[in-house]
Amino acid sequence: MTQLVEPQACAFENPVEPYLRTERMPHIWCPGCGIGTTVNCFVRAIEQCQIDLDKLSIVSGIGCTGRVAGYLRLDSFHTTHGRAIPFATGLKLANPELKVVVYSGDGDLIAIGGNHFIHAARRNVDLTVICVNNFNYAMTGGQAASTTPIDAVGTTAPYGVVEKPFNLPFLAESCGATYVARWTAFHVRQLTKAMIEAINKKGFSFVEVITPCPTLYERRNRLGSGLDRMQWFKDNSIIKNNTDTRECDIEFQKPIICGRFVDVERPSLLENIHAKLEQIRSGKRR
Amino acid sequence: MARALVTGNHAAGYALSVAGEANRQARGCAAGAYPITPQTEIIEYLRSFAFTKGYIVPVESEHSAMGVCIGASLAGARAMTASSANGLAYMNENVFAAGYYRLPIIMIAVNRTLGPPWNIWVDQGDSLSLRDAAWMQFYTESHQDLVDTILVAFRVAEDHRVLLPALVALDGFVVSHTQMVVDLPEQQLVDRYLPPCHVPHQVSYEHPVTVGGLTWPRETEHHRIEVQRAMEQVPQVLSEATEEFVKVFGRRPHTALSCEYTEDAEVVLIACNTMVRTLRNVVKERRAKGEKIGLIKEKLFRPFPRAELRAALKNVKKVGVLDRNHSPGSGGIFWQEVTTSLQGHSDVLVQDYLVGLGGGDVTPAIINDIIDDLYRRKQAAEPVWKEVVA
Ligand SMILES: Cc1ncc(C[n+]2csc(CCOP(=O)(O)OP(=O)(O)O)c2C)c(N)n1
Ligand code: SF4
Ligand SMILES: [Mg+2]
Repeated sequence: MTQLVEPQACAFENPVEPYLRTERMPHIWCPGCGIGTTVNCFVRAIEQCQIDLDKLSIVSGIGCTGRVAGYLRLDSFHTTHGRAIPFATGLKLANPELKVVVYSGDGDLIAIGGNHFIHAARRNVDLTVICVNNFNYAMTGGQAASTTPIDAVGTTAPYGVVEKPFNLPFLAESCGATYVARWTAFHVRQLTKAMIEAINKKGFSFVEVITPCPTLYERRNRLGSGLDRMQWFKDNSIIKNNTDTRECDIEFQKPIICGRFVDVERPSLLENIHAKLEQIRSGKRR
Repeated sequence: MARALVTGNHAAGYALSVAGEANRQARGCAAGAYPITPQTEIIEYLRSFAFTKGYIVPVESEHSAMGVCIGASLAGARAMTASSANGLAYMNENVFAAGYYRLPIIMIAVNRTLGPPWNIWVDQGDSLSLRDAAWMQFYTESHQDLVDTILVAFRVAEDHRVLLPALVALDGFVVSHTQMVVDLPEQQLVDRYLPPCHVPHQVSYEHPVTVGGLTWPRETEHHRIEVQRAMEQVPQVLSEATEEFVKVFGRRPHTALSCEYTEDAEVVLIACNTMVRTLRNVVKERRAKGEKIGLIKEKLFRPFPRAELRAALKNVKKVGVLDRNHSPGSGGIFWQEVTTSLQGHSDVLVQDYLVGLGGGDVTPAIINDIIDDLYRRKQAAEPVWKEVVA
């Protein structure tokens, strides 16, 4: 059973607490879930970036991960399912001073919202997208998603998935992302560093985080508890920066390649808009 | 007939599956499956069923779910899906396409409040937002009503006099997640009840067709008139399908309108879905005290059974409509239909009550309160918001 500690009984405040809407705790996440770990890393990342918190906003879609927007004590938006990226694009273009971070699940960002993902990367909108990949639609009960590995089971794939899942780093890179990294919930330091790099990066930056969903994905696939899964991530991750993203496919219970894969410069959408305006104003437009 | 204790979602999944399997002598069945609470177990059921011929596509969104149904139906499969709330909203464009393409697709809508703000509980606003989409709409009150209506809906939808898709609604959680004993008809009986699905304009090598062409205003108007004519066939086809149902399954399903205690009633309440069940108990109690009160269960919402409603309300003095939905700037959607049906035919007092929106319980106390209010009323007023907590 969970032990609830009275706040006044704590000798020290948890360093991430000022960034959380503690009045909304306890949160909905299950014991052993990896989403909270990623939030911990994210808070430490924004602390280290020393961003003006008034100029940072978080946009989520719907899902277990989508709840992140509601738990961070920041300007945050819980949009409709799949639509975090267009919403964030509007925020960013209307107020270019804002740092806009999209924080959502694999189903939300890559399945129902997949179209927005590829187009935002193509346009190089100045956004940071953090995708928590737990290999399923968790909030609705563990259905197979467009990230579920072949042969893994889900409630809509009781005999195992037959469709090839997306390789997210490859998808992001081929659509034009300027920064692409992948870590697991086990790699808290590397993940924090990747989040800092992504936030500071100009253009469309993308971080995939593989997390345990012990309640659904791990349980249905008999992969043990959240802790077992962390051990598995530790033992089965291959850290290989600059790997060709075409090699980053994930197969069921096969080692996962982690690292920073892409870090390139490309004019962002806003820069391109401004350059075009300048061209028109100066009469140099062809 | 196999009796089983199952949830509403299980019952719906079963009915869809046996109907899909019944088309195996023809082109089989197909569906698009995308999860959303409280509907998800239905598409999970479909994905687990071992169809002889057919495939349930685990699509990436509801828009694609209806897209798959449209394609499959045009190819001659029996097509089906299920969704709720924002899933139905996101599917919207293709819902209209399915209706206007005249495809007999069946969709289960497990009623849930449209967000934001996010709320997973029952409210009929989601499926009612599709009322203009050229789909038949049925509202069901119980697990058995649900199973029967799904099977009847296939038969009516696929009848060549109709050829329109049908939406079958049930209350989220109250029916979808609770268990009741249900007669789940065996496959052989369903095979007998549902003839192989044949869409006359389905894709074929012999008669190539282009679906979805560009039309001039006049042609579009003709198309809309044809859809309206098809809707007008529904009451007749539905009553034939009901009689056939009685023959095959030995049980009489509810029809378009169920009138209870209305023959001598002075006051009648109209409701849909599980509100009917509570209302029925309240009306029975008040009848026992000698009150001249009755109820009408509105099951068929599209086409709206105006003539039947007028006939049922001929001698009634006051009508109260319970609406678990809200059209901002107007009022309850069932109320709009009831008043339009009576317009110019009757001077009965019709009062709208907005109840249980966002899933609040509609308790006997609330209904009693509404009845007392109706008794006191001298004339109708704007729709009344009832506090959900009595
Ligand atoms: C249009 C629409 N369709 C379906 C849903 C139901 N729904 C809520 S969360 C979710 C899946 C979330 O999966 P993912 O983005 O991977 O997040 P996770 O819960 O796994 O963190 C779905 C399908 C919805 N809210 N809106
Ligand atoms: S269902 Fe899975 S993803 Fe959602 S909170 Fe629980 S463990 Fe985390
Ligand atoms: Mg997920």
